[in-house]
Amino acid sequence: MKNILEVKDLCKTYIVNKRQNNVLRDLSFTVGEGEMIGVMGPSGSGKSTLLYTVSGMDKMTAGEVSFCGKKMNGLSENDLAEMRLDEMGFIFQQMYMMKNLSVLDNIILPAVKSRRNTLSRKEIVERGRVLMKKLGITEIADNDINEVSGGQLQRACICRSMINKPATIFADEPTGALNRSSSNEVMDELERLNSEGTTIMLVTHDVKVAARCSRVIFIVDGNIKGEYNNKREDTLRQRERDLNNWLLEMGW
Amino acid sequence: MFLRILKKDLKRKKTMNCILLIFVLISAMFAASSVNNIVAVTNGIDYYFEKAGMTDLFIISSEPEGQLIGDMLAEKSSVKSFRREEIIRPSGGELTANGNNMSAELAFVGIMAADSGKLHYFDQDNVEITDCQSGKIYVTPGFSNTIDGGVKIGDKINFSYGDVTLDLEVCGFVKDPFLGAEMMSNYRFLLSHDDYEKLRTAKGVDSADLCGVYYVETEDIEGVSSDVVSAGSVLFCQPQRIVRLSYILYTLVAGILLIASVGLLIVSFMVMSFAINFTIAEDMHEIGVMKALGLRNSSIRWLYLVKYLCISLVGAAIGFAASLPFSRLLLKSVSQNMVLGNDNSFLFGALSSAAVVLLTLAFCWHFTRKIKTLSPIDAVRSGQTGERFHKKSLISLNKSHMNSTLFMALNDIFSSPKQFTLLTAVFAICAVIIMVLANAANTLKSDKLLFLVGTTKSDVYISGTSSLFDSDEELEQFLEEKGIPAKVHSEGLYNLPVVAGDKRIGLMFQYCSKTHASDYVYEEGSAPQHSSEVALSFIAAEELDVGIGDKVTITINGQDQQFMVTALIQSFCQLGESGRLHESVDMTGASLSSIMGWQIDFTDSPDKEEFQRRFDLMTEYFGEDSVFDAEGFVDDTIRSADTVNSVKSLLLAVVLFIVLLICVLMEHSFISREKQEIALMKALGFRTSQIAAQHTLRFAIVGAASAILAAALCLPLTKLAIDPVFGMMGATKGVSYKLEPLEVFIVYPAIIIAAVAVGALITSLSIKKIKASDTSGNE
Repeated sequence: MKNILEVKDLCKTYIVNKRQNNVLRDLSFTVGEGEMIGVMGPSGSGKSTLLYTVSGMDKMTAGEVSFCGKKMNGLSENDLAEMRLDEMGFIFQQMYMMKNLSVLDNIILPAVKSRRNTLSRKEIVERGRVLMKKLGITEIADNDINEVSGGQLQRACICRSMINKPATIFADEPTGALNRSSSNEVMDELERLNSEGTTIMLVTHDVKVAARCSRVIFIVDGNIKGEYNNKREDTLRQRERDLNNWLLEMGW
Repeated sequence: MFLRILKKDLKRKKTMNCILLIFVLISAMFAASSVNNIVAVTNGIDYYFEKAGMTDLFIISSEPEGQLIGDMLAEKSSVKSFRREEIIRPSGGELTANGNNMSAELAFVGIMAADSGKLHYFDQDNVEITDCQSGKIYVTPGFSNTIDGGVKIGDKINFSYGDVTLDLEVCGFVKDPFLGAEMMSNYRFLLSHDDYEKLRTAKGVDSADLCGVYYVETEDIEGVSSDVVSAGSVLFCQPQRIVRLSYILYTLVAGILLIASVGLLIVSFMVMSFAINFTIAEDMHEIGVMKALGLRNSSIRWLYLVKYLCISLVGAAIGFAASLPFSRLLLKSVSQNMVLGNDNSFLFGALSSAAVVLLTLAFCWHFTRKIKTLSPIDAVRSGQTGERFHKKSLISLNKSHMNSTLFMALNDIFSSPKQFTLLTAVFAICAVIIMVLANAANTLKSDKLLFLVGTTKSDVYISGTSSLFDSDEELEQFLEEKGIPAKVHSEGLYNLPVVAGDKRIGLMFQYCSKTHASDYVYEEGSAPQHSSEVALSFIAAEELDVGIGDKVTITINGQDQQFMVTALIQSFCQLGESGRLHESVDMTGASLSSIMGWQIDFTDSPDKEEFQRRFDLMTEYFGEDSVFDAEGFVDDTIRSADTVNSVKSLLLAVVLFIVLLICVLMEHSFISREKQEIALMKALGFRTSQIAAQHTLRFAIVGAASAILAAALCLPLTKLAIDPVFGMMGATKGVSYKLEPLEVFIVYPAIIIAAVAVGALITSLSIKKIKASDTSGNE
């Protein structure tokens, strides 16, 4: 399996009131193409920082990150932006959307902006509508983002993250702000995308969410404490139980 | 607890609080300086005149043979007192200042001994001038303004008069309350007693140059002036109100400054109201949390009132302090010629700043009223109730083919129409201020006002050289010898007493025997067609309480003659107190006050090139400051265009500064509010330059809309603002304005749009600091 993401000795440090805070310390791991990786850890362990750093949204202090074979260290801001636009998709916990655009407009925005995308506006809109239909939110296309439920909005975010057919989706607590039923819907969608070949790296504190991943990385104090491979052949319930036991062993 | 909340708020939201502070500061500065202008100028004339010892009536008479007028005044019982000043009004001689030949200006000069003044004359530090050293000279600032580069203290003036030559050094500038206003087009030189005596006794000079200036205290102004004018040899006889009106230019300038200040004040208040509304809207989430916790609405509102009180007190204090030098800068052109009384302006300025504080609190109270109507959860959702009754935006990305940056910019504008409409209005007001002044200045030096000056349109005008030729025919002959076939005529100005019923006034009549009365412009009625018909100005007719068809009695050369009023005119002549006589009226023996320069009409219809050659030849011979086309003649006569242009240039700088400041502050506010969205856009893959372009573009669109709005409104607003100003000068029925399309519709709008775009662009570059990972939106 080809590695889509390779992280070597990654460090991220913040200076707060002249004090150095080492959030990530010499992290090394890989993500294979088509994998669904969950990142777990206690609050303040550096999960979200890891996600933002490997996706190029934040600068690393030291280390090496390669995405699709390209070293991200040497890339300019514009190159990183282009990479995020064309090759990555993002899903945030808070379902950030542009408040002046309708749901459909939000979904198609990355495709309209992408220079690599040669589709016409009509074709982009059509792709957006297809994605919305797949995720069962066709009826909210022209709605304001304040007029839809959290679950619908998060599914719209998934549509947006997929509009440019990225190689990888990064999700930061995608179900964090949702109820159980909406969480299940969202995770069903992400699993389906993964089964279609999209690599997914998500941060979560929810064992039920992590149990759906093929592999779980457990981070404590900026270091990888352990990695766990979920047994796909087991039922979801069994996987949750096994993962829970493993996490307890890790000190969760 | 509230104090803690307040401290945290002021610390945490530094950017928005600073923006608010600056807007309050600007508002306070403009409020205080505007009121200061009003107080200083409107009270200033009264204060100045009282300080100078000005009287009810002013007379200048040519008295080569003694004090005729003085004797007459002494005998009149209605004259309470009078004072006589002696001046020399040179009809010839040579004058150079810093090497510049200023001989042409001698016609407007009154020379006096500094120790013989019967009014109080002041220097630029408002210290009274009571004497002058030998070899030194005080001049009025108006004289300095006629010279390229002006004169400074220490510069040399050489004056040859008869057999006397004086080399004088400028030791200061005199504020002459009687003749010092530039509109009087007269200059005063103050010399030492000895130097004056040398000139007084010079040989080979016209005895009529010696004049008496009488300052008369009387309640019967009309009676005295009518009798005095009848006596003859009177060059000038006007009540104080006319002299006061000569300062109208400064009042005009101040009035224009006031209009501009009011405009800028409106701008600053509009922007301040936006800033307050904006900051409160931003805090809705926190207000919601406070409501959810159980705090009462009044407590929450009080919290904000205290916050805005603190900010506005600081802003108003700094703004008031800044208003003092700003006010001085704006009044500089006025205080050059007047002693301005400003004892109370400090108090008024402080009161204005206090009013700004109250207004800030009023805005705060008004914009927090929404707290009462929103439920806690609606407030937590930043005022969003989830319901919508109309479309959010006019455009959709999925239905549009626009470039995405343009779309995003337009979409932002359509999604917040109130906000961007306010910005458009603000920039439009700023643009209109400059356009109105430009229209006024352009009109003041165009031939559109020729009819108000009371002359016909001629090919060339020569002014200030009346002493060179004794008659029109002499000039015609001179021109013929130079190969310029032309007819020459000149408008004579006669100060004549007019009686209608029990009303008596002195009017300045324009008369020319070589033109036809029908050649001039009449607003109502028809041109006089006989020698017994006359046209009066609206102001004169109102004062005499006569209309078309009524009869008036005019005394010409001691003889009372009846005239029928056939027409009403507008005129700047003597600020509207004037009339026109038919060309067939016999003016032999009547005392000519002055002529309005020679008017030359070529008889052979030369082509453009030949026209220019002749013009250049005359300029070479008579001097650049004496030869004009119609527009130049109007400018030279009214002498206001340059001042208005200076005010316009100053205000352009002020307006551009304000526009830039507003753009910077607004864009900072927007970036602060949209930080999360900007971070999201970066996370999605937008480049900093693309986001900056969107932000700049929305301001540029607003700038363009405001420029279009200003261009559409500039002419009606010019009429609204400037017609009353021209009305004060005598044009009571309004004028037709000269519009320079390139300047007004292209240059100034382009400048405003450029300033807006530059301000937004520079500020939007701070987007660089926002990272894609800043989606949490913490400051």
